[in-house]
Amino acid sequence: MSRYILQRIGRGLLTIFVSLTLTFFIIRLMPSNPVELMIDPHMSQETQDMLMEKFGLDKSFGEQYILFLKGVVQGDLGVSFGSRANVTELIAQKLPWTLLLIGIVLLLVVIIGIPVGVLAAKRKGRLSDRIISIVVTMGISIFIPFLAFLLLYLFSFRLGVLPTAGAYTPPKGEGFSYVLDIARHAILPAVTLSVMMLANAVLYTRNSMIDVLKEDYIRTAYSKGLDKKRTLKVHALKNALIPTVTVIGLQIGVMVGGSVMTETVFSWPGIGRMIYDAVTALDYPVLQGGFLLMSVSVVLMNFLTDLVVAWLDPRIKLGGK
Amino acid sequence: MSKEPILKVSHLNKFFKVKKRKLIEEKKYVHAVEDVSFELYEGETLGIVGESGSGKSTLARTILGLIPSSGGTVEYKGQNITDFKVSNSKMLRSELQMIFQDPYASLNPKMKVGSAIAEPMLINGQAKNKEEARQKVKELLQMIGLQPEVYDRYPHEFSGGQRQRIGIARALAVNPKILFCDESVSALDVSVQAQILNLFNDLKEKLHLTYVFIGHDLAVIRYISDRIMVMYLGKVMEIAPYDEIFDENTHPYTQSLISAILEPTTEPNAERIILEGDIPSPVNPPKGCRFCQRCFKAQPKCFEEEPELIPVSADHQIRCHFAKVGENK
Repeated sequence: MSRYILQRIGRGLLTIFVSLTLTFFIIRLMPSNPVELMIDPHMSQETQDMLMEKFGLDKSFGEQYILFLKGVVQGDLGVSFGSRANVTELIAQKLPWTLLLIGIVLLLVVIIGIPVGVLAAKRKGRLSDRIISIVVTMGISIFIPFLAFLLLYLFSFRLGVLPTAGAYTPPKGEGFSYVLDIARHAILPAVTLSVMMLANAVLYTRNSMIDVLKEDYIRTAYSKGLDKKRTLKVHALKNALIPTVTVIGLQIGVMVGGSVMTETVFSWPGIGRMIYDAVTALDYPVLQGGFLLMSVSVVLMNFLTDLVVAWLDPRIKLGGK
Repeated sequence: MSKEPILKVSHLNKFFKVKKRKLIEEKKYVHAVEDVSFELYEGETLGIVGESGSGKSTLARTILGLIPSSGGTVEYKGQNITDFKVSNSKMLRSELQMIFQDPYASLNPKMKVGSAIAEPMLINGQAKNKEEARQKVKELLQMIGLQPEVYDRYPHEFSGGQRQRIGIARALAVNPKILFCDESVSALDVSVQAQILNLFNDLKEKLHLTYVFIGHDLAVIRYISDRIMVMYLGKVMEIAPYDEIFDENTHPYTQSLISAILEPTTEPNAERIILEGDIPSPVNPPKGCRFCQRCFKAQPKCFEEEPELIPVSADHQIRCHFAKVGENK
């Protein structure tokens, strides 16, 4: 087991390294130059050179790459070209907002997605199941930014019941009213993000539940004298949850890297918005930081998902032995 | 054998709806079990044989209320228990238990075998708490020939024979009176089959069980049964005591099944009856005798008129126009 964990960590580090390297070179291949965006032509030549030197842009790609890797190992992701802020601190400041959205989404998946999936499976082929299936298909196929704008238009512009942007109304409040304010701001982005996750959770739970309910051991459970509720909960659901857990786990990993579209539409101060701003400003250090966070969270969630699945299914042996 | 039957099945039917293909189409049904009646006496073993698709498993499941019946009644100790829609269904559940065919699929892969066996005890009230259940499960495991230490292991860690023993322990956990064994040994290899059959015989004496033993292998059924019921296409073709099933005066279908039993001999089996064709569709069963299309004795009458079950002796009934009444013994 410890050998397996070491192997996984090694493989994870390799994945992160490869993704870092790719990111580093890809963002430098973008057809524009941060220097032109950043440096005012009216600046004196000395100031320009000083800035170039400060951000390390006067060095060759190779040298920059080595310096970057060194920094990453030491936990130093450099300084933002735009705000001159430390990238590590910037991420630490944005991450909680993104995690808050993910937390809400996850909660909705557990308290709505899985029960609805079970219900649909239980009533397979009946009207309620068909309606659920249609809604789920719509949820999976809808273009998320469109949904975001639609919600924004309806609730913020037309009805005016929810705020249009940001995570709270400045100035920062205190205590309960502050929490309430954040909650009001979080509703629309959280709903937008949940749509696809919920649809996936319902779909996977329903389909694997239908398969599991056909298994012989479900019949065994009934012949033991179990009632329908207990059979569903104890015998079927635990077996049926594996695909749901896998899909949700992997999606969460991607979401930690920010939902660029949704966060931008709602001006949510999370990682996705940070990446969007960094792309427009060609802010290399912030982009590198954002993508590093994404690859770390994907690798981590992959590992966690495998652990949870192995815990759910005793037949799966980690490490293949 | 007592006179009062412990289980009485009367005119039990089970039809499955056939899904419509066209918008306007007559509703069709698969006649899985049709007009089956039999009585089961305490302490006996009733064997049910028939080829695949003859409705044996459906019959057992319908009796146990695992699938709803389409007509007829089931009585247990004089009480009507059709479809288990009765107030004391929990008590009945524990008195009528089933052992399934596939020892691999019928155990929940995510449940430790101990908990799987203990679960019905706790639910049906045979054990008051987990401690007591654990103790009882360990005793059971020993009785069926497994180490009590296997309590905390998962089904995939066992061989087929061991799993079937676990399935038996699970059924025995609630002190059943009648055990329905649905092809309980067909998935096992022959040497393990013999072990499990011997285990069934031992348990029967030890626990005073009554068995309904379902199988397609007459050699296995004959080894364990007191009476044998032959089914074909959802209908009972013959019910006969063990020693009369090998007589001359039996249903032609039974004769063909018997001729298929392998004998430990190198002599060519001259009397082997090989049936032509397959079992007909249970959606549109033949008009006359169910077996007429494949019967070697078939006469024009068989295609026109369906025979009744004809009692040829006290415990022996045959559904055939050519059964000779009163000739046995």
